[in-house]
Amino acid sequence: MVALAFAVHAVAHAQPLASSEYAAIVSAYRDADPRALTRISPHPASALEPLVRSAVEEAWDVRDLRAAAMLHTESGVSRLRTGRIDEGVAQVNLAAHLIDATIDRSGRHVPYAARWYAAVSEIVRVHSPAWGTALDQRRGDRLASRTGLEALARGRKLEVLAKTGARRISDAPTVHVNPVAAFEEAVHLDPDLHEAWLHLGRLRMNEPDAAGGAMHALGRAAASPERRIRYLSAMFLGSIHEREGRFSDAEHAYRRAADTYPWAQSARLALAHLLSRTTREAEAREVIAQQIQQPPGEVSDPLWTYYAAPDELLDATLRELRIEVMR
Amino acid sequence: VTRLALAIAACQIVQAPQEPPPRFRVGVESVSVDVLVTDGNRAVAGLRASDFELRDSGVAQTIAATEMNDVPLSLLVALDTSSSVQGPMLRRLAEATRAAVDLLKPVDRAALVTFSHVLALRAGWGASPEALHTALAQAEGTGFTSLNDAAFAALTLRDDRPGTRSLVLLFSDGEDSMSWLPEQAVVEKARRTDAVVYTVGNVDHTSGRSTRYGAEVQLWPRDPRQLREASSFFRELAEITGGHTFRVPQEDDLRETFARIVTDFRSRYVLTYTPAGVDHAGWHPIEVKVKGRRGRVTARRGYVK
Repeated sequence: MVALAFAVHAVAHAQPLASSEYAAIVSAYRDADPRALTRISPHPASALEPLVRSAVEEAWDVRDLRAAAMLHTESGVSRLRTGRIDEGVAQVNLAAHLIDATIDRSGRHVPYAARWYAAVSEIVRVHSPAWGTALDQRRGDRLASRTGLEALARGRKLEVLAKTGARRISDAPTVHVNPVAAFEEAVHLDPDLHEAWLHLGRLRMNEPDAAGGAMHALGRAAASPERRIRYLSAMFLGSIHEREGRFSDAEHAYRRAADTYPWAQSARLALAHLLSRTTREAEAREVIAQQIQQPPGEVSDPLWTYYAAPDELLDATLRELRIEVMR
Repeated sequence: VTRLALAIAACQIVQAPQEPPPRFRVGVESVSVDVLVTDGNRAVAGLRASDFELRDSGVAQTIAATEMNDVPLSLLVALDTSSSVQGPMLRRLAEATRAAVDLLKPVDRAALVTFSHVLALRAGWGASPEALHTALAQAEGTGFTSLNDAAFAALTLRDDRPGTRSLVLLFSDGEDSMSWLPEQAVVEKARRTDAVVYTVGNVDHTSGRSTRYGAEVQLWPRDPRQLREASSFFRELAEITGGHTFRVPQEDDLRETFARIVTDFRSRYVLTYTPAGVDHAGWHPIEVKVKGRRGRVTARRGYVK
């Protein structure tokens, strides 16, 4: 899949694409066919725009809309990074249109859209600051009306501020109060906001005698349609089980996480550590050996972007977004 | 001991220490301790079992001793290849690794793990020195640092071939910024293996604290991550396993340090004994002394039964 990013070759004088051809290219992209980017790259954004609009008007399946969005995102980012700013921005603009359409079709796709906006606007800002800011504004317009999401965003911001303060005043027990309240508000306003449940559960893990509350919240997060959320909730649940001495439950949770996200590193580290501390050394060794023999480019881990500040690990975020739309 | 896969284990020297090559008998619950004796900066050679006094949980034990030079060595090199080491530092690391590997004998083995936020096995046990050098040449400095995860993986992947002694050489120029595992998990792992860990870090590393957003996520609430300098973690890891920690200036040539680590390890003695009078489970502190002469003893602090 990484090879996709390097597969862009401009070809002059391309014939206009038919709608069916465009759909086939998107389908190929979803199948991780590296030729998809090669096939789309000769066509300028201006020629593709009618096809994108048709896809939206024809109410493509949301998963296909997201796949098309990632196809144009990758096409756009590769152009931005090679100095073809205008065409790159135009391709990303097509992607934004498709992402917006997924929000219009279903509120369930808002978290994905939010992550896409956050990652891509940072990348674009590096190459075209004004348009990066415009993309941020567009994100605000698209997402601001969802009050649960507003509370979620406020919680994340408070968390960052609280952590910064905690480093100064070394007052860890108090720093999570405000973010917890914000996440509680978010899930009150929108009980299906799985990402808010995830953050709430993780913060409750740090409260004394609050494992039950944490498990409830993480259990709600585990129902997310997003693999990333399901992965992280399984990891955090495993951590709770492990520290409570329920090793069998912990192993089950870590294995579930590993199944959710192939070759995510943290799930296998957690599993190997658990096996090792329960004297299953040979199994621990096998788990680690399998993991670290993976080509580094194939390894992706939602924990990395969960740990990272919003402007870090943009490429990793893009990779996650891409993986999420692949078949 | 055997059940805990302490490596400490499962092999016993059945030959006189001075009759190389030594043979090992598998299946006996024995403990092997790698011991370095120094007088100033000089390793003391030529010692016999009768020159040592070893106590397991305070109880004197009957030991056999052999010089490490006569025992196959398994070297696992774990190198930080995060973005902070890109460029000249990465080249120095490659040269230093070559210097260490070049000191290995044909019976020895080496493996190479690199880590940024991604852990990667660049060359597994049995790889030729050239394959190892080629693999390292292809590494690039990029990404964050999963130091704890890498240290745990290195200890887990130590060579389990019977009759060898395991040396882990761990280099990082900064703090952990992306691991799942806390330091405590690595320290506990180190207590349960017989690998000797030598750590190398930069003396002029000044960041002091991880910058990662999630550094205080505290997935381990009962033992919260305490952000501390990597040097402190490195020191603890080395002391527990009986190794040593080196802090070198960032611009220094690392070849001498890496080569010295292999040379130091070769200068050790392997003290082996079948524990007597100490049947309890759990942590067994080990105390090793040299009798009747000057000498500083470096050995692991104990083992978990």
